[in-house]
Amino acid sequence: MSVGELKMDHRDHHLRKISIWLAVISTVLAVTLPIVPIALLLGWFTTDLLDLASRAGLSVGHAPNQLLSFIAGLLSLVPVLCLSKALWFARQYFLLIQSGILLSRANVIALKGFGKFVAISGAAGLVLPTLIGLLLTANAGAGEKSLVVSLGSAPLLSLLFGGTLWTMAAVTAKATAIAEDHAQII
Amino acid sequence: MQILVTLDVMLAKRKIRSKDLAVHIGITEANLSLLKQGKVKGVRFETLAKICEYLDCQPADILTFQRTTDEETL
Repeated sequence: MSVGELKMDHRDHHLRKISIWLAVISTVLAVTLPIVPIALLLGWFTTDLLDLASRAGLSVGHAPNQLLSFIAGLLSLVPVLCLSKALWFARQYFLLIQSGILLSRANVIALKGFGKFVAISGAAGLVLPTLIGLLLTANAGAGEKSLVVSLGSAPLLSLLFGGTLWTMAAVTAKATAIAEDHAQII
Repeated sequence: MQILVTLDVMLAKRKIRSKDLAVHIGITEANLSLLKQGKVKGVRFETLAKICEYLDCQPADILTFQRTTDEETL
């Protein structure tokens, strides 16, 4: 525990209550979110790739390269894995609040990690569909290559939310420094 | 540091133990020890008033300003 850590008093009981619930929700989501995409991916790896490509809307005359498909499959997991990691940081943050620690370096690290991975997940959601499309049609013949451009509100909001969290972490870092200074006044 | 804390001198003059003063002010002995060593960034007026009340002295009796030369500050 560092000097100046701001702890809560008995009046902050409701904050503890909300934090423990948010920590539980974050933990459940962090663990369960990657399960479905990983299961789907395992299913795809055992599916005929030509069929997979046609289902994905890619007009490919022949099956995509096995290795490239594998890489594309792994890349498609990046956004959800980043989101899972972000939720794990969120869990740490809420657990700190629940244990009564409001301002400390650990809070800053957890909030910064939360924001960073939400932003990475958003950025990956914007870039990866294009990259995956290119990978899957890399070996396709002339006129069969596809360029997928995905621009949804979800990844953009994730980027914005991640940036907001990052800013909040920076403000928390400043507040922690002030609290540390304040603790040295007797 | 330019402000010297001479609280230990005053405690010795009044023959009062640090423990008793800490109890009266309502701070821990560890914090009082830091204050005596001048290892704090500041003292609240409230704390200062309680110290002066208990030791029956003035703030100037426990805090002294020491002018430092340029060479010392460098």
